[in-house]
Amino acid sequence: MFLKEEFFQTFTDRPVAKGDTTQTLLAIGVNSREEVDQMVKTATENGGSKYSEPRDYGWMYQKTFSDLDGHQWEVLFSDMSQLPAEF
Amino acid sequence: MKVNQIYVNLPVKDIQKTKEFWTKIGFSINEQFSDDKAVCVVLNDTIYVMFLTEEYFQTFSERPVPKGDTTQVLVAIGLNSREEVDQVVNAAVANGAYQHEEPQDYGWMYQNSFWDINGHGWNVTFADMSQLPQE
Repeated sequence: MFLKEEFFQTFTDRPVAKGDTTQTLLAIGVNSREEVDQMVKTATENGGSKYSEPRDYGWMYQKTFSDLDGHQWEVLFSDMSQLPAEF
Repeated sequence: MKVNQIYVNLPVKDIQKTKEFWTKIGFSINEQFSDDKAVCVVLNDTIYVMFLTEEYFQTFSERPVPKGDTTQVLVAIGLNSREEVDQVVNAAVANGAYQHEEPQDYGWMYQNSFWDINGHGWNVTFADMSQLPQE
């Protein structure tokens, strides 16, 4: 739920973060590497920005974007069948 | 576009204490995704919370971890009954969390909330969509 800052403020006794810190990173899983690329490309074409380099762990592929309000999203595809026993 | 899973990542100071807290209030741990710098709490088969040490969390963002004096996120989770909502919040409070507001009862939705031992805010809800008012 994206709430206007004023409305969000009614649910917490602390001030809304000013965008110079990060309390949360939201990681979302999609169905393929292509979907990861597509989502991040669409986001950055529409005002999002890149804040870190893509990571490719083999079993997991991840790209990130920062949205219009500075919230940071990690978009990932993971192939659990490729998950190493130790990592 | 739909996603198939979500991992809410939050920074913490102490992994072991965090693991104990979330276990005591009734959630299970995915040990495969947990180690000395992260603990993965299972909310359901597609929704997870990854609590990372502040140092590890910091490697994923170019901005500093907040000092606990602001709020960027409130995580709202839905349970299956009013009783489950109260049970989780009461267990949280009994284990070091604090309730930051009185339960809210909207008829179709019941909500209780707590701030966890790391200062992250949780809204715990039960919603009966059949009772959702038209307006």
